Amino acid sequence: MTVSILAPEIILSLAGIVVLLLSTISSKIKNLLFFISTTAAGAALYFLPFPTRTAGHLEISHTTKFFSILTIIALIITLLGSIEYTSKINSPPGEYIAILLWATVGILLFLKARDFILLFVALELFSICLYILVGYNTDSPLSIEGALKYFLMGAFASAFLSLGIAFIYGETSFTRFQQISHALARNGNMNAELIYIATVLILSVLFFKLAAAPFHSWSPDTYQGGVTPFIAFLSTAPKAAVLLVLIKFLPVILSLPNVTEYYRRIIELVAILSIVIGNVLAFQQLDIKRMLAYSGIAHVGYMLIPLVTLDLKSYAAPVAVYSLAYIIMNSAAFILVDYIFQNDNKPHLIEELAGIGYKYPLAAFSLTVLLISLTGLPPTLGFIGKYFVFLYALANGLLHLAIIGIVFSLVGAGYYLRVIYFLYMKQDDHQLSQKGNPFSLLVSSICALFVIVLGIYPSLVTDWIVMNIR
Amino acid sequence: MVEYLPIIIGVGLAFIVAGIIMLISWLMGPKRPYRTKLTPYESGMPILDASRKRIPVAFFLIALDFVVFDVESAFLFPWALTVRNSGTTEFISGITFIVVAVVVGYLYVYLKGGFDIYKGNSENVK
Repeated sequence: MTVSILAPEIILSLAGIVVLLLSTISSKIKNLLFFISTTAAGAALYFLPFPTRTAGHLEISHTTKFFSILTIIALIITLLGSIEYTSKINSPPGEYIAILLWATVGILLFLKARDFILLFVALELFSICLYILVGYNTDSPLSIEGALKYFLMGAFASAFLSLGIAFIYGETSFTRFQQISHALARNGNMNAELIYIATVLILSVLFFKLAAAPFHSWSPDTYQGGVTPFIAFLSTAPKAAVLLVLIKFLPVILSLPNVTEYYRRIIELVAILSIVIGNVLAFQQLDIKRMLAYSGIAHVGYMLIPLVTLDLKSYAAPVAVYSLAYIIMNSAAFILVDYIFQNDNKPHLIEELAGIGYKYPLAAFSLTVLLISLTGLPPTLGFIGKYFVFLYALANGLLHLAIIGIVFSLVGAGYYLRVIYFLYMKQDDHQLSQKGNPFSLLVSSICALFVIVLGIYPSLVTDWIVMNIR
Repeated sequence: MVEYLPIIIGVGLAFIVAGIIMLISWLMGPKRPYRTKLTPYESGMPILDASRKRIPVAFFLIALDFVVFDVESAFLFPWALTVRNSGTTEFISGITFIVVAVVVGYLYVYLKGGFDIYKGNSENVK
């Protein structure tokens, strides 16, 4: 019974172990290792547990299933995108794949966890894997710098999280979400200030993992230095998972009476700051990975807009639509950046993209589609995501947030379209290197196709999401 | 905070008494320093060499492996105490932990050559 609930996690963990042990035997079986891990990811997708009503320390629902699917999609995109990477930097592939699989296990557990102890363990499991993988390119000082910055700040974040959990446990003597929310609703002789401090500590950790402003400072350095195909995973899967946990954590803290306005202000401030800071600072960037990092901060701001309503029944659906769009377009964009630039030890300057549109037609076209989608122009999935978010904001009387979002989307168009300008309207003055990994091109073209198809027929997925995601 | 007052008084008293004793022996004790008396170990072996030397990095690897397996064995003590009174689920999860953490970990370190400390630079490690 319990085993079938955890089937995807078990499959991925075992695949990680097998890959790790196989990789020590021979160094020439890299393709086999990637085949095993991708198959395991597919099997995990197949064995995702059927939604049931479990109200204990694990939640298995349509919502967790949807976000698990998103996580595994990001894993598959990343795996296919990094097949050539490890031989390019002369590092062993086995550890890279195994740690990536275990990070996915941590994220899948994190999605389901409705108990603070399990939540903390799962968070540490995937965070430690992410710290290692950011610094996997040990030849590059930038990679190590990014890993160190992420690790130091992430370690502080973990300390804050455990302090917040300790305060909540001290006041309510429970660790499960459901029991905590009952205890808070009864509100006996509790110290309300301590609960406020605890929830703000936990919220700040979740915002840190989301890279939402003002907790965003790690993300540009980490993304710029980190292993590029892996950043496709780092910038998408953990963010979607943390958003889901935020969606499930807000009802718990809202069981305290008379606090809605207080938390609404916090989330509103973080959303506005993320949108403004992300979009404005992305303009300054010369490095495309830093630009995508700041644009990721802005996207988190958009995803936080529905949460500002604190309408617990319905705010998950627009976030889910936006997460789907964000995961597909952002991970594919990073894979394409790796495909085009090849060399990860140098900065990925936007001006080096000059004339790529004629040299790598398919890659440049896919990148153009993905960037248009990131901008939020129709007919792409990115537009559908923004449409759902802004429509939801307007329907719930958040006119000011919708206006800020739309104005700064227009600002964002500036820096995304500048990349497209360099791709097609500049002459190339230098040769870029050899041919890249064909699987990167394949998987990112498929993603670009998805982005367009779902942009034209959004009802293929959005109907299901609106029906089932709570 | 009031209930911590005796502890603070006790800590303060300890500092004051220790300070008074050190002050009295410094003021009243005889001082006849000579070379042997000033060595760190007055009664032991004379110091031959610098104590901070460069150590081959392989020893750190061995130490790391030791720490990992040592921590794993620490987890087994509470399991061993409770497994007799609990069901098969606990037994299976404990066994899984041993297999995954210890056997797979040992195999990995062995296959990677983590115990082979003379690997590559046998003449440097002497």
